[in-house]
Amino acid sequence: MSTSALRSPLLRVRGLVKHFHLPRRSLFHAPDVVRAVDGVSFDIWRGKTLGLVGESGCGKTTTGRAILQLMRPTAGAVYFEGTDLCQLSDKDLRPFRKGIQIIFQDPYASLDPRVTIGTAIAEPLMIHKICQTKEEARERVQELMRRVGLNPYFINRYPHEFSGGQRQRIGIARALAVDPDFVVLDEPVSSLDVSIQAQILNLLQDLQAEMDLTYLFIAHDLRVVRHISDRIAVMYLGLIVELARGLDIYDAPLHPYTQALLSAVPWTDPRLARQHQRIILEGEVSSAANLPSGCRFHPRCPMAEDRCRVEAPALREVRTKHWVACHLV
Amino acid sequence: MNTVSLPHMQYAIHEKSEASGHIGGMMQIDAEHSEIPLAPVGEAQERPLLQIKELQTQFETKQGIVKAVDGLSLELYEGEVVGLVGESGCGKTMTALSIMRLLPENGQIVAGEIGFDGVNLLQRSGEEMQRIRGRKIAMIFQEPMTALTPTMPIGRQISEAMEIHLGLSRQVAKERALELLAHVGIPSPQARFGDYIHQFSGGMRQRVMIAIAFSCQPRLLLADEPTTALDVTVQAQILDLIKNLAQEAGMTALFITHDMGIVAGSCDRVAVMYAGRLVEVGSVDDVLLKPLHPYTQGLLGSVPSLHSEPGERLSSISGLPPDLVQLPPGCKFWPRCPLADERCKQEEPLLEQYGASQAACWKADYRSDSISESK
Amino acid sequence: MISEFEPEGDAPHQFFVMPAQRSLWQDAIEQLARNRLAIFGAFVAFLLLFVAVFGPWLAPYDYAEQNLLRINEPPSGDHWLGTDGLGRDLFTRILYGARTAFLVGLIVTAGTTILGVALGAAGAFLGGWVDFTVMRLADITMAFPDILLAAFISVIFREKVLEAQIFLLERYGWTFSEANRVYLDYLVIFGSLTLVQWYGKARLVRGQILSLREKEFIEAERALGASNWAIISGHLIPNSLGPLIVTITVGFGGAMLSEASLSFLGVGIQPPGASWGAMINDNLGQWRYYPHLVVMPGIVLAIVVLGFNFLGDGLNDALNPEQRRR
Repeated sequence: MSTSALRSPLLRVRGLVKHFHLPRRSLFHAPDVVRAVDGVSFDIWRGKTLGLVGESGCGKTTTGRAILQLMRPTAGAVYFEGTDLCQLSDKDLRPFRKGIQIIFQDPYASLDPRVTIGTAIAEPLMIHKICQTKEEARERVQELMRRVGLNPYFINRYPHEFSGGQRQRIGIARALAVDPDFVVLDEPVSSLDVSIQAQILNLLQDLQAEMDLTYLFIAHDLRVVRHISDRIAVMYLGLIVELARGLDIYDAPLHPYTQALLSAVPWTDPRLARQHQRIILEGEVSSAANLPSGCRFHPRCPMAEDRCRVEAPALREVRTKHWVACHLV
Repeated sequence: MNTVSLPHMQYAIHEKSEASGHIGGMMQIDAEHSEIPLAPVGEAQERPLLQIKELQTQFETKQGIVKAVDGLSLELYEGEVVGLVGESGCGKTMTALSIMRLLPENGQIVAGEIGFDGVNLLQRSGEEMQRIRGRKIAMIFQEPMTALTPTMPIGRQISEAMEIHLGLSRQVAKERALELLAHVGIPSPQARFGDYIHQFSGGMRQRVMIAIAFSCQPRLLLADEPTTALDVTVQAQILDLIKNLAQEAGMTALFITHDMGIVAGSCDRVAVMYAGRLVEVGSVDDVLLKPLHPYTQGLLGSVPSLHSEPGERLSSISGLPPDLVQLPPGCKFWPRCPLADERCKQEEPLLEQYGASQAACWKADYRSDSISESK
Repeated sequence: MISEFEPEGDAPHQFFVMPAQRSLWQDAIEQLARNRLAIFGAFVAFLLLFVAVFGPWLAPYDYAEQNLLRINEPPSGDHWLGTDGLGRDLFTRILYGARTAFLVGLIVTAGTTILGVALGAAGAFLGGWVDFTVMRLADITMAFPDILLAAFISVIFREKVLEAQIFLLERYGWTFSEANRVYLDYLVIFGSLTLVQWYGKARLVRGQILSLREKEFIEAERALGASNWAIISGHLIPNSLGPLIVTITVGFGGAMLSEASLSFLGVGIQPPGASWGAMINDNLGQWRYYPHLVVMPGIVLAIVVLGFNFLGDGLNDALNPEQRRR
């Protein structure tokens, strides 16, 4: 690459693949392979947010886990500041965990019910030896709690005593305790109430600006993704089908799947809802264990041609910084 | 304790017999009034199909009495689709369960009246309610997996409802069920008639649920977050399906949701609920475009819109929903309200007409003025 | 639920409830205290402990003291629960029997817990052939009736222990059970019951760890960079403790019952050692004429085992708030 003079991306994902093997259906069947993520590549620049959207089962969550090496990818590379995380052993990976963090979807499941929130937030500080003494850690925890909007008074409380939004704040405080560069946000607001969603989104944006954070924002709510992302990648059955700047995607979606997805967004403006012509997709998403030939979207695509049924389209740049994987664009 | 046999909802309900008199002295008063129509005579068109008056539903919990619904009044007119919007715990689901008289064991309707087609549902016996449920009022739940019987083929669940409620023969009911399955968009219904609910995908499950709900052509449909568990594109399909079916059948529907976007696309009128009571009621255009109540404004501001600039801050509502065991005096929203003053902290505002819609806010006057000025 | 200020606004909060701070354990204890059957169970357990420790001082007679002039007497002022066929005081023997029962409960439970947790955890963490071996061993143990296997083991075991004892005595002059044969019986019972009853705990611990490992909060720990040991000691073990405590409590009663069964069959505690099961067996021949000699130890045994089961059930409800019956 001759563009190395430019600021290089903080995170580069290249050809990421994650396959799962299902148990054999019988002795004579080869085990089924679920191609959850099947060759995904993208870059994320420092301080920016990439939104990763798609419907359930498209592989977006697996992509996030594979980047973090919580699930070891089947193939591909994840370069974080130039180091390929996939090549590191679990032990060598540990220091890198300081730089890459995750915020989970379910604030009820992602906190140990038997650990007070003060201890939970202090844990990463102790693991990475950021704080040497208990007092130091306690002070830092209180500061973090204040920063994410929790009253430090409740430092000794247990997670079950907090509401969903507050728990999500605890999760954010834990992830940010180690002062990471890059954070995977896996549907961080989808289990929260609308008014709380807005509070958390505002908090995430403030923190990003303040700490120069880089986000991979995984979500299915296209309203939220448009709001928070600089660039957006649309996934369908383990592949990115469209990748572009946020407004480009929303103003002029090119891939038929993106078009259908966007036409289904329930905007709160009743005038928009009336004038909007929804593209209703036929059928349901195919199974990732039994993928269609050619373009994976062709069985549901209103514009599919013979070619689409045979030949899989590659992701190519059809306009400036606007990549699409479709034969018809 | 009783288990409703139809439609096949695994729902333990607490039937209150007329004689047990839990609803207290109210019942006598109602009995006297039952001769009097609930709406003015001579305006048959204007008579609401469903008229909820001062409904109060409470729950006994370890922490104390939870006033899930507290003095809610709402009318649904024939053929309209009304959205009931609010956040979790605001009492919107409990309102629907009160209408169905399907409250959990520790819940109880302590006051109010639910007029349906001229009769007060709270006076009906358990048996009468069973005939009304499914036949005249149907409900669609958020999670079809928990609302349908896992051990009975779905075709049988639909046809049995019709056999019992409509008195159809087994053969006719089966034919009707097959038609219904095709109508709600289940491919090859003949083949899927004998399938069980777990063999369907999320969207298809909801379609089965809709087929059951529409099977006896009820007059009122209560849809409790019917699409929350679904993906965006499937959500759009299901919403369109419900809307079209309801329109075809001239059905009245109450859409319970937390998402203003669903209201915008599917409803005629909207009622916004907070802490067990309504804070704003009006047509979708009025409420969503010119919200009067600060809570409605906050809810709308919390959802990013297509017009907003990416990255700008959302105008969220501060604080948390109140504890329903210990509600603040005065307006229930004042601890989170940016406009609250001394009066709001002491006197509770009631729903009043401001322009085209109703709001329960002392500041609505000022709001409606400022909106008309800015126009 | 805690309600508190959020940074965006400065809304007043005096109307939000502030619940008192409570840990899950405190909550569980409170819940337990409300359960009458569990309180009864706890009372029985403490009574058993007390009697086991202070029995010899409480007992009016010696447990082996025979008075052949006063055999098979009904309850009286001298002998509160009467005397048995050898003229031994029944009350005294029941007190001593409590000692046996408690010791067996304690040591067998400790043994099965250590063995079960070690094997179960090893299987869950190491997987592969270790897991396979442990689980198949458990399956095989399970396939035999507990008492039959324990009786079989104890018969073989007794001989080996005797041989070892003689060997030790001849070679080094060591002796540990010459003075009191009861200790030999104890050793045999502990060993055989531990070998028969470990699998329940092993399976439980393995299942707990395997399911906890998939929990999101464990994944969160890994994402934070916690070491395996930190995850095991800090999160996996504390979280699987609840169900284990329940099993241990119920297992306590179970071990006592098994000891009584073994002694009843004659392969457990040997005379003149006192065991409730052996007492029932000794007096069974004459139960038509002196039913109290069989009924008394039987009732005591039933109450104690029932008490531990109630306590276990109560703990189960208290530690699993989600499953709690209203």
